[in-house]
Amino acid sequence: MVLIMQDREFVDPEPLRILTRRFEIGFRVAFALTCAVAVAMVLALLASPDWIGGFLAEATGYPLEAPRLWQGAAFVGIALSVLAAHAAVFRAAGQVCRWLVQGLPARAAGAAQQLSRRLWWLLGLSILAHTASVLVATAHAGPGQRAVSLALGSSQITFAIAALIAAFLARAFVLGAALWQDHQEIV
Amino acid sequence: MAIIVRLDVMLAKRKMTSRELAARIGIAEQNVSTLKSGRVRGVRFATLDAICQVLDCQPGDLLEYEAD
Repeated sequence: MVLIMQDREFVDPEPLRILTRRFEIGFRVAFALTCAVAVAMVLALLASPDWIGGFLAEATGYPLEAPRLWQGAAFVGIALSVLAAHAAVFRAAGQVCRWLVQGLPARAAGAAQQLSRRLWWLLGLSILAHTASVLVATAHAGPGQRAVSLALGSSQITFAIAALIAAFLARAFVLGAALWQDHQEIV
Repeated sequence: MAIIVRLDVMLAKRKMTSRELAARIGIAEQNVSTLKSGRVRGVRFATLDAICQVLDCQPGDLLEYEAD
């Protein structure tokens, strides 16, 4: 006689593990795409500094007809710093999923704390990047036409909310790790 | 801890090995060994139910309270 207990009242973590694995793959893809965009931007700067300068100036909201070389380089530098921050966020988010897939919630808590820190960093950087972009876009203008802008829009609010959620997740994972430990020690 | 697990006694009475019990109730042999040694934080009712069914005993035959 064999009594199969696994099929009764126990929680099966497999569907959640599969879902988390998909998220991990998604974050890896996002990381790879961010790196690809960064490389493309550098190549565009080398190949056509005017075009990339004009494109990024337009994205800032201050279109330039003939951006100077230093302006194009500055725009690309700013964009690369923001992309690097995004890549770091995607990597940390992927780490959270990776540890969860491996059934290590305590490590996932550490990764979630890191993710939260990186999101706050990204929030600060996005504000600074916008201000710097506007300064670069209007630096060549005459007196009275230069601008300084501080962006506090929906993307900044999204970053702040995401950072708060990540901080909450870190605490939840610490609790989850303790519960998981309990679960494993109960036969 | 004041709760003593008497699973080894019951296994000996029924002339059954830990491996056989583990196979019959569907849990890992290591978990049965851990339970036998009493180094567990808790026992699920489902596990207790299965052990009692296989060993034809009562929970009281497996667990004993001894004041510290």
